[in-house]
Amino acid sequence: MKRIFYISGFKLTAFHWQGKDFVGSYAFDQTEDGLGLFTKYLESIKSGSLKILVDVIEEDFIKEKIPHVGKNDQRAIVSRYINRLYRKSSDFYTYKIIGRETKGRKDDIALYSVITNPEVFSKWLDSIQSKQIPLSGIWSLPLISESIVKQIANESGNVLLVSQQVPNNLRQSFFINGKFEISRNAVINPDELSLGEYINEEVEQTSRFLANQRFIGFDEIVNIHVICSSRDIENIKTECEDTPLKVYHYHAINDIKDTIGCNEVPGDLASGLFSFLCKSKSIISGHYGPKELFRYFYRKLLNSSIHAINFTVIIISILIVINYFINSQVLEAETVVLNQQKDRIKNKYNRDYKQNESELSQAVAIQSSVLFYDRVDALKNISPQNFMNKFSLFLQKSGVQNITITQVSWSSNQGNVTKTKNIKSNAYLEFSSNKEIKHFAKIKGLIGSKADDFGNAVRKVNAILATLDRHQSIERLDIIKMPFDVRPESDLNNSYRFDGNAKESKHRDFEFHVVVKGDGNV
Amino acid sequence: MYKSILRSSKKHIISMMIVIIASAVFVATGYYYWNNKIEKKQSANRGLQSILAKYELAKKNTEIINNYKSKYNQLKAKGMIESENRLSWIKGIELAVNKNLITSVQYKINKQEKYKDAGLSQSYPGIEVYMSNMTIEMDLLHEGDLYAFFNELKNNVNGLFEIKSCDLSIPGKPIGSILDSNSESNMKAKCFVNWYSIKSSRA
Repeated sequence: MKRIFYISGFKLTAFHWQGKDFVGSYAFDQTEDGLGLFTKYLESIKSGSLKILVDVIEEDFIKEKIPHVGKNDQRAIVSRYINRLYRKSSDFYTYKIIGRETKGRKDDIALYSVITNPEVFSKWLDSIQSKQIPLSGIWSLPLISESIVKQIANESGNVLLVSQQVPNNLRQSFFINGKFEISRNAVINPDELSLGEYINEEVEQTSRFLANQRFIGFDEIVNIHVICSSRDIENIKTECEDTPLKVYHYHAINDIKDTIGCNEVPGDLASGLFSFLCKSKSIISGHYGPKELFRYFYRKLLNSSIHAINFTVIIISILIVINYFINSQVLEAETVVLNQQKDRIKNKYNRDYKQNESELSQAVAIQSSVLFYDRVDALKNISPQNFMNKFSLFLQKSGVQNITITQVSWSSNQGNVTKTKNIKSNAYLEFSSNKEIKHFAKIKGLIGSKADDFGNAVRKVNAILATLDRHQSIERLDIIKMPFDVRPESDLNNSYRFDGNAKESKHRDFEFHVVVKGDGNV
Repeated sequence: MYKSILRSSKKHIISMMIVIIASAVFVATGYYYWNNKIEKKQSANRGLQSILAKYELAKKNTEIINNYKSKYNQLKAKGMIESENRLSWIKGIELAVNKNLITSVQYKINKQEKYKDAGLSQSYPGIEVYMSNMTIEMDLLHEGDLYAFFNELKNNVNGLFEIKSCDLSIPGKPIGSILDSNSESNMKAKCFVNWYSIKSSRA
């Protein structure tokens, strides 16, 4: 439940709201009896905080130009200004910057609201303080009425809001384009004149005041919105006639409650309506009062926050621990299953393989030994005998006669050959490599007969070379020594001198280096 | 003012700190309990994976044994595994001479050394290979004798060998070709043979 204390001069009305519902209200006079009852009322408050809504004559609204400075300097300027003009009100003022001049120094335009005589409700505040009731803020009724204007006045421009919160006061607040400008509270005597007559008279005075103070021009239209009980509307209408510059609009309190979103408005006066608006305001940004005044509220706020934090921390901790516990149970169940599987496989292992562990540990070595043997054994085709058989066949195919092989230096060789001169016959074979192992041979000999001339020798050479080049098994053939090497890709480096007495050719020596494939021994 | 508010709310602030610390301890205990369960599960999982791997390895090794054991035993019986049998080599060479496969032979066997092949342990894990290098110099009547000689070695000697190189030459002025089986020239051959012996690397 929320409590709004509406203070109008010497009377305090406590409105109780539960959400959108009005629960009840209590009125207290600023007399000894009234204050006594108020103290008892305060003692009955066990929990919750309260707000104060002030609607007093002693509230001034002033527009002033102040230099355009930073926030801290601005506050200092305003504080100095208030202390100079309203010595008692240093804690009971508020201001806001409502615009800025366009010329000159471009000063800010500030709107001050000041309670000129805070003592008017000091007794109420003292009682509240003495009972340590959390007070969250003191609000100005004219200032919060800005929000109701936005909801009931559709038109822009000049709006004068007229409302009656207590029987002997009439509040008039002036707005331009929905923004609060000024307000005045007039004392009326309902026994002398009717409410309509008072409204007509006060509006007239206020209009003149606004024109004189240049809030409006003399020819500007003012829309006057009157908030009153539905039964007073007809009476007021008879007294307040529309003119070209004054247009009246009437709002019954019971109609407005739907607009502002409350279910019920107490009484025929607008104080209940504004108390609902005050209830809906933010809890920490009141208009008036020193911070010390709200220390119990701050303490309550702090304690409530701590309670909320404690509650949240405990709930989150419990949820986390429950989550850990549930996950742990799942993990434990999974662990049991894993251990069962492990035991089952272990038993199976013991049954099937345990007795052969020693032999099984040698399996890799056994396999490697056999595979290594096979790898070496596969080289049986890489032998000098095999090579010479192949080479004999090559020579037979060439059809060349009179070739004498005088020396064969054979070795096995691994890998690709780019230059046979670089092959080392004693190089290790790498059986771990997948490179093919091949025959490599250096062959020396003599070609042709002693009686052969150049032509015969060349033909025999060509026949041998053609045979070797054609054969797929020959991977590489390097001619090391061959005087009649007439292949286009070879350098021919020879000399010849005619000797008429020579009876046999001197150019018979040859030397081949040949690499023969290894029949896929990888 | 704020200090006085804090002072007046001292109990609440202390209660908040107690609640936060107690909650932290509570959550930490829960975390420890949960983490302990995770570790136990991980340990059980590792144990399962380990025994599974062991079982699969045993299964695979059994297949290997079934596939290779028979041949391995044959090789072992022939002396190709574990230790080299130089005596058998020498006897084989002398037997070849006695059978008149070659007329004379000189040989030299170097001391055994470890076969150096960087990729051996990867391609053939579990074994170490040792190698003895043998130099054989022979007098041959013709090139076919070479074939007969090495064939004799292969068939009658306990050992695994590879002919690394052979130099065949006809000394003096040639009266026939090396490749000619009807050649009348005597030949000389100098061959290098590598003898391999395989040992289990655990031995």
